[in-house]
Amino acid sequence: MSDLAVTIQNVDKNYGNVRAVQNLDLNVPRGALVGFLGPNGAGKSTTIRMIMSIIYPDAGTIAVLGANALQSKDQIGYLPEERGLYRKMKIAQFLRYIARLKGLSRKDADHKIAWWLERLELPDVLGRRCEELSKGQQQKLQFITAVVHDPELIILDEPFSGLDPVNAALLGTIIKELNENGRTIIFSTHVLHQAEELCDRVFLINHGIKLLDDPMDVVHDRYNPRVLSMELIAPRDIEVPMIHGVRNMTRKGTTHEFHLDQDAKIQPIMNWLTSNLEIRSLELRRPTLNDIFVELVKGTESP
Amino acid sequence: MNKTWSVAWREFRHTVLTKAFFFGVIVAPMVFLAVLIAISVFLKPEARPLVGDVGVVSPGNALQAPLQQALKETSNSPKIKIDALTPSDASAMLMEGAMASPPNTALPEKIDLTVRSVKPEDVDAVKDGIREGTWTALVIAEASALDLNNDPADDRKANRVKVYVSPDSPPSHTELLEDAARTALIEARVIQEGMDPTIVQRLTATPWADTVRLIEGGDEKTEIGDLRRFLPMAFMIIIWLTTFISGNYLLTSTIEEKSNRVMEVLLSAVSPMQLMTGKIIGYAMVTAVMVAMFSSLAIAFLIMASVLDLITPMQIILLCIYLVMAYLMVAAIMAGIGSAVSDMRDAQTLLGPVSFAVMIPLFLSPVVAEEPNGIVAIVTSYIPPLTPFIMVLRLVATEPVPAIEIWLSLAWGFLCALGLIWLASRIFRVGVLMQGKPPNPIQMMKWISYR
Repeated sequence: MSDLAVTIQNVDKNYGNVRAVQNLDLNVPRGALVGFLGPNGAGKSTTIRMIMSIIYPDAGTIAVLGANALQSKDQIGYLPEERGLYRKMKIAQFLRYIARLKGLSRKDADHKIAWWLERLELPDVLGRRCEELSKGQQQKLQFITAVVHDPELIILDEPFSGLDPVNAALLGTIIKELNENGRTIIFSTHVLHQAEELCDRVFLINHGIKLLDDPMDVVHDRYNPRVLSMELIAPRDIEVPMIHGVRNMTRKGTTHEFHLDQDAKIQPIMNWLTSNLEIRSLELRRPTLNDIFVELVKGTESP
Repeated sequence: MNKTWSVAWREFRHTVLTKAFFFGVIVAPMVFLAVLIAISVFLKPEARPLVGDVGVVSPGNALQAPLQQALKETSNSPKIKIDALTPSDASAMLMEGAMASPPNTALPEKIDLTVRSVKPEDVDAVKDGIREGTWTALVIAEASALDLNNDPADDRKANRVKVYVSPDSPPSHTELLEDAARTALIEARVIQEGMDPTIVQRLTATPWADTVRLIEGGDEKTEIGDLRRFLPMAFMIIIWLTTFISGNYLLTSTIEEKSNRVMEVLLSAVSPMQLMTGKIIGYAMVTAVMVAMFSSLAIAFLIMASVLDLITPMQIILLCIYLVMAYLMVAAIMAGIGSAVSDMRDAQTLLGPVSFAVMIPLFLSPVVAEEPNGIVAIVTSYIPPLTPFIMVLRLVATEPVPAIEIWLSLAWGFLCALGLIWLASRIFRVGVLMQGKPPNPIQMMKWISYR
């Protein structure tokens, strides 16, 4: 059995003249929790749909769990970006229908549906119609359709959109639990701090081109801290040319942020600051995923 | 196959086991039929008694006696009681064409009229009497009415009689008086020519003609003209209606899944082909329910009229096969259109040309029934999606369709049906994920060629 849950090699996908995905390579190890990032229209949903064999690449190959997705469909859980329910259908019927389509027997389906409803704090909804649920409850219902058959690979397209912070945290916990139980999870999101908290690997594309594909710790190592955050005891004007190696500075009240040159030596700058100014705090700030995202995406945008 | 079956069962269950289907497709036609029967049996209009004096103005008082006689015959004519008809009576009535021209109104329970001669100078007084209710009606025949010449233009003016009635006279009374006045005028003319009206009536009675078709194997079969013409149309309409109702369900279900955004959830579990196949099978079962219902009504009618032998078991089998063909063609078209659009309004645009095409068999049915093996019938039998509808018309028509043509149309029809399903599946797999502006035919052609 391959160690890879998903393998994408040299994949191209065009819609008419629009190149949605270009020469894309991606490997997702089994058991990984991968954040799939990219701005709107970057090609995330197209890639996910190709992984699901809902659409097919124009060129290249995709293997999912050692086969193509059609053969592995019952082993994949998928929460699409375009969420939907049969509005007039009873919730029990809807979940049972999807579970049956995912290959569960009726008995197993009923058992797992009951368990997941309990886990997602949706009690006593089975007899209600889908349209009677709130947007957040519908979102949870759709999450159940993705995981009810206990899939090996779970692909979640924007799983946190539409959820309040409490339910987003609940979903985050469940995603983490599923991953700890050996499930491979790929999720796309715009909520980058959640990706940063959950993921052990990130994958970033823009205009269908891969910009980043690394474990989270490698990403942090690669993008060295280049920002010094300093809070003064009393407000004071500071001129950037005074400090060698600082490219520019932003100020908000008593807090200053120094953006350093790529080749700047950090220790001398910190020494200079502590010896020349009255400082309440000084921090060499790690770049957030958001910073990395913005930097990489901006770098690929035409001026 | 389990997944396809799950889709099929859901579509069937959520269509047939709904109140809308039960009431709209099963109960409503049954109730409509029952109401029609009930009205004709129990709610015969109660016509008021027709009694009193009828004045008549005619040259030489020639109309008085014939009019009195005509009214007397009307009051003595036997009344048909539909609820007392036996199947063989009904069959006989069909054979005689009696059902083709049923009386529009009920006969009054009692007719007791006295015809009195009125002088021309008393006409106004009688008209006043009609308004006041002392007279029932006044019949006036001009002098020229008895004296027809050979000029058709003059005939049109002269060949008429006027019947004056009260403001509240019901149609049953006026029709009866008109009929009696017409009959009386003819009789008066006959008498004026010195002939016996009874003998003339007997001599000029329209005879019935029985068409006996000499069929293969030396047998003979007496035809029932109107029913024979009606039957192909009836079976074609059953197939046409049921396939289009089911096709429409398929269309709306696909559009609903697209607009509800549930399509991608489904496609994460089944392939587009499995989904489309499941839908086609599901609505095939819906069609079967509807066909069973409508056909059982049609066959019950044929049994009641003792004319079940109008269609043979082989014809019934062929009708079923052509029904499957028709359904597959319509379902493929509807699945393709449903997947390509996002709402019903857009669907109507694409359905326009399709609706026109499938109406063609309805327009062609008189031509095909008249000449089942004519050039129009033969050519249209090989144009999909007309093939099954035209073949049904031809099969049940008078002239037998050559066996080779049946086999050819079956082979060609199913080939075309499979072709349409393939095209629909190519459009379906791309279209179901598309939202927004509906595609034009060129874009749909491009979808077909997508990988």
